[in-house]
Amino acid sequence: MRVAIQTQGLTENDPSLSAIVLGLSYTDSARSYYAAEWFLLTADRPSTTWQFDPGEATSGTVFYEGVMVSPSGDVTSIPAAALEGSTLVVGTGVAATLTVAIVPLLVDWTEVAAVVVDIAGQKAKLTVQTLVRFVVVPAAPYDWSAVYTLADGTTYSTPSARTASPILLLPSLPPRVAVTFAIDAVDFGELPIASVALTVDAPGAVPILNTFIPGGPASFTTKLFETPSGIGRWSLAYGYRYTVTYTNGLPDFVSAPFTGVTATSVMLEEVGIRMFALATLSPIITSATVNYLNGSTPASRALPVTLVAGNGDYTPGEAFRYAVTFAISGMAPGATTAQSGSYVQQGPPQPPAYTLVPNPLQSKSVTVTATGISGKQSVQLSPSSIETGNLGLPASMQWSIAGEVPSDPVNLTPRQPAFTYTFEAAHPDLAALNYPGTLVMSSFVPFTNAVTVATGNTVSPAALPFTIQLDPTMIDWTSATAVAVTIWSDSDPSASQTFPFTTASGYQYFTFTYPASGEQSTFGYKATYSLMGGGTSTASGDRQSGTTLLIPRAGD
Amino acid sequence: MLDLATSQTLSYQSNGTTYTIVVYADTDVKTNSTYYIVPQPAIATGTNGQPAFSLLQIESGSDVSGQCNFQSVLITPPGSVTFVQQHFQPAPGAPPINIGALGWSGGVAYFNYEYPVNGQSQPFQAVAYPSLQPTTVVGGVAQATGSTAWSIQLPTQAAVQAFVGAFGPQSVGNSFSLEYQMQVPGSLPGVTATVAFDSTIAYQFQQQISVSTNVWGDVTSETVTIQQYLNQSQAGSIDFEWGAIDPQSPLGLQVQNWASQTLQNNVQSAVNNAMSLISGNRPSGTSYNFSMSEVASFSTVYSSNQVVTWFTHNLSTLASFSAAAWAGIFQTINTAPLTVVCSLQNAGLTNLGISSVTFQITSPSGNGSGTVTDEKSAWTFSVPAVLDGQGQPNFSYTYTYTVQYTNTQGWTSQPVTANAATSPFVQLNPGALRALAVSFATTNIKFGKAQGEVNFVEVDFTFTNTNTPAGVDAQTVTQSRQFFANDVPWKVQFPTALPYNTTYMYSARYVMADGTTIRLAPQSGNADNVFLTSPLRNRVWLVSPNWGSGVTAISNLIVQASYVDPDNEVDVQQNLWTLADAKAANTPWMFLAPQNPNAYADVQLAQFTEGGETIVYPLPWQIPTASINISGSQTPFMVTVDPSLIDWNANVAVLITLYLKDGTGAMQQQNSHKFIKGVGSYPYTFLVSGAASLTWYYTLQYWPTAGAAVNTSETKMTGQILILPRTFTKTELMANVQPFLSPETHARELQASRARLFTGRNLSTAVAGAAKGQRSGPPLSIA
Repeated sequence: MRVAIQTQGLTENDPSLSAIVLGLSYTDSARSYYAAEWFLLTADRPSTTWQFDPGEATSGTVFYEGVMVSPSGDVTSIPAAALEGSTLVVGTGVAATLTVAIVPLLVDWTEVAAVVVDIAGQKAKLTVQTLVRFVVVPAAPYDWSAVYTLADGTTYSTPSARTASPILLLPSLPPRVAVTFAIDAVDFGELPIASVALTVDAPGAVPILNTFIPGGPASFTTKLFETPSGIGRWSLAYGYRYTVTYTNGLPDFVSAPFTGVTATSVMLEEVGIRMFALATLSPIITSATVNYLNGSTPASRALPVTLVAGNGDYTPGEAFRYAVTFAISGMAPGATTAQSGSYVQQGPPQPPAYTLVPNPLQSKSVTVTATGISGKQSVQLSPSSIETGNLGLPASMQWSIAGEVPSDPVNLTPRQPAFTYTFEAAHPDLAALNYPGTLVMSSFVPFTNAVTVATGNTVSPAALPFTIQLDPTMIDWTSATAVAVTIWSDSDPSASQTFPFTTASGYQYFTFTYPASGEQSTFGYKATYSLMGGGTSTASGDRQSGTTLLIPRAGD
Repeated sequence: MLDLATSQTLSYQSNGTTYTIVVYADTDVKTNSTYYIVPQPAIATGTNGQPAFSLLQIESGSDVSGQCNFQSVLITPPGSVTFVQQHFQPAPGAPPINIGALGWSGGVAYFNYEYPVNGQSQPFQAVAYPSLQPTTVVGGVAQATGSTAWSIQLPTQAAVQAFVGAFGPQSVGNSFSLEYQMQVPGSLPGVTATVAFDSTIAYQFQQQISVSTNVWGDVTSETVTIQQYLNQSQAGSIDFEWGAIDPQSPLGLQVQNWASQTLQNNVQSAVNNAMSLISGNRPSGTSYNFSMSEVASFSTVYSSNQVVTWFTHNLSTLASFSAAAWAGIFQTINTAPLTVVCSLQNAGLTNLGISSVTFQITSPSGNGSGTVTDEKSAWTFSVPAVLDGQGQPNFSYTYTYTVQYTNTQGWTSQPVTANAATSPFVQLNPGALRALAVSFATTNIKFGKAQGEVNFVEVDFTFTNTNTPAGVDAQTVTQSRQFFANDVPWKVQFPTALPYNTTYMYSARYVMADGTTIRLAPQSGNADNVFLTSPLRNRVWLVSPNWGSGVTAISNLIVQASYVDPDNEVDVQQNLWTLADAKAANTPWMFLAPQNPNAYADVQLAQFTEGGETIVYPLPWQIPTASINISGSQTPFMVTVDPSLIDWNANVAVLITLYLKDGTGAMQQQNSHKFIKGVGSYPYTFLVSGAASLTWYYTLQYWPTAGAAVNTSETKMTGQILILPRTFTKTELMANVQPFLSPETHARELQASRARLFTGRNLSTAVAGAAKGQRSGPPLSIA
């Protein structure tokens, strides 16, 4: 190994130096090799060469120090420094340098394959073999940064820092946290999506890319570096963005960049489109419309529809709520009368990108049978169906489906004692048949309030129906979350019935019977309000007349 | 005329480009070989062969804004005429294939564009009215129609850049589009659609949303508001009976689109009518309230093969311009121009008896004039705006317009001064042109002399122009026509004395073969074409006597009933049942009438013999269901509860419970009814044993706007009309105030209520005045 030693200031006409005393040493710590030699350099011998044989210990560093002596005898020291390359220049006019020892002591070489330190514009690569690496920089302070290449090929970059220290202790890698990104595989299967290209920006790491494709894995897990949040404290904060491409030629959807994210699990719900598909609907549904509230902007569209964020149909990131309104008109299969009205089905808040709107209607048949009549006795009926809902919600959400009275008069006789009314219902257990009529005996006995949710009902001279409609429209839903109303006939208080009400409820019906020859009883009720802040209150009434119970606004 | 069922979407190639067109056949295609090609929107080409399109970037100091002016037209794609002539074969003996002219009866165009606002792209839509010149083919080449002028203000540099990006030669495509919805008469394909609107539902809905929206009170309410409203309220409904058409087929979807558009237009028309009636009765400059209760409900049935106003929907995405064209299109200037677009709004000049309209504009920046015709229904005035003292562009201008009529001398409007910064458009509708034209025709009506057929339909047309100077009578034009056959148009056309802003009204009277008549509630409109169809359906009522035995046996039953439709004037012949005994033939009463759930049979006479005595049932007796029950042992008494005086500012609901009591005091025939604002009077019939007079009982529950309900104690009644008091508070309850109006102190209210309930005369205004203590009016005479 050779080191060429050159000087400045010894040989000029008016030399500024008379001598330079220089000590050189060579150290290869890995192989415990050490060599040293002192040189005296003068005008007679202004340059020289240090030659030695380190054998296999060739990865060491040459250090030097010494003094410069002026013609007048003044002595200036040459501070200890490391030599880069194989030529050493000392003497007048040679700028002072700083030798920085880069010490990768804290680096966990089981995780890290190499570290490249950028120090004052020079790059120094450190590996597991490196105990220390000396780099000569022009002067303090100096800027440095480092890129750690991990065993898996990914990198971590430290931010650039400025320091004057001759020892650069490389920091250890920040802790890493596994973060999982996922797409909804069901949505993916139904939506016209070709791919979702995800880019994760974690501090220090190069952007991590992953592309989700239909049929491929629905989730992707990667480890992200944490950032310091105080001395010895770390926290997770990263960013991501993604681009959705479609199979139907729609322009790509580029998500807004998400920054400062701390979650360890991220669902990529927003894919730039929202599709509302329709199942096969009942033929009496003439239209289905989705009314949605995006942020504070209401809009409505006929179904099926694909809302495209890029077309301004909705704004990603804004809260999204919807309800589907079905317009109903016409005669259902198996029915002999038409129905009309509407049904409003509320969707969950923040629904998935793909929503299959099912058919909301089911068929229901209700039979009314006249019993206990004979001879010319009969029962005239005016049956019609009725179903209501959302009476505790704003008017636009309230709905009602009503069936018509048959155009041919309905008359139950001993020979033809039964009549079946078929209609479609959104909630068959709550949809009612309104069947007022007149019992025709020796006189006409009208029964004007007969409503039932049961599927089989009888009318007889001994037991005529008497229905009380429970009307929740007055309830103050700003204070109550639910109301349970227990109601009984004063003719038979033990046969009470309890009806639960929420904002989504419609009218409900309590029916008891009375003999054609007898009186119509009064009724009593007790309403229990479940209050917003917890607890309950009650309201009650006894010996009430009438056929409608307007449930009080609130309890005491 | 278009046969809408023949809609076909065809593709062909011309000069290497594939075009897709929609073609309809004529209803008489077998004899006239006529086909119609639906034209498509495009940017117009100017007389210099360049696109009629300009984009200005206006740089004023550091501010950059812009303006895009252009003309669009409807035109069939190149080669389409030749293609259609070759694609179809004429029937044997028929002339060669001919391209028919689409005569537009109305239309609206939309320009959809977008530009970034605060970095986020926002969609915008501009609306304009195309010219109504029919499509024509000259020398095998289709000529442009639907000429429309546009002036789009671009407030920011980002907006200008968005247009440069969309239309410039470097464009990578855009989503800007032109959309035309043109109206053309056509024959409805195999489907029956019932388009209905119930203003009582709308009225309730309106109360419930009145705080959050005021859509009906706004004179400038637009179609989009109507549509939104219909979506929300469910007051409108469309019921289809699909024939051979698959609802999900392209034609099915077109029909659905048409029905929805028709419903919107009809509601808008009903609203306009109500508003014009209200505003017409007010001095100009005063504000007024508008309620949906003023709007007529309707239910219109459009059946298969009937002539309807069809909506062709044409949408084209706009392409970018070549570099050569772009050089002449995009300019940067320093001062904003004064731009005014003068156009006709759904005014077919020829149809209106007008040959041309000339606009004259004067402004500090310069003067100009331009003439519009059916071919070119818009003229754009654009000059560099002069700067005012503060260095701001002066956008003020004054315009007049001169109308040249074909038969009478021309007329020039009064000058109107405006500012182009806020009013860059001058749009003239037929009212502004002082001309009115409408064509009526019946369609799909079964004319004939047989039972159930229509002898003739009489249409009364009325137009009242209240826009007259003080002291001058309103101009009223009435015309009438009888229709004996379908599809024979009757054209009403006349110049009006002055510009007008009211709609015309018409009522249709159906004179049946048996001489009875049905007059539908008057309709208003501003459409160019009105097609009238039959609204009639089967109705059935029957008498069910309980002949009884022994002392309650009855005989010689006579029942007479008339049919009452409170919304339409239906002259159904009264029915008379005379049944000697149970053996007599009891024929149901069947007739044709509009299907209205508010209609009922009004019994005029119900009498029978019992024990040698003639018994007559008390009246009124209204029966909405099918059965008129007669018994010798019972008497029906109908009571009517009138809520018209209830103060709906103080109450949200009033619940009444009515009942009888038997000898032991037990309740019988209980019934409750809830009144809310907008709900009318409530009839309820008690069936009382024997021939005794009526004694009945009720309780009331008043629900104030807040707090607990106030329950009145049981009140005994013998009268048959109960007028509910304005309000009922706890204080009144404790003061033992009677919860009804007494004849001694409320004679006037009771009289008015009776008149309104049973003679149909609405005296509510007088009653409202009386309720406030103004009792000095003229005495009411009650029939």
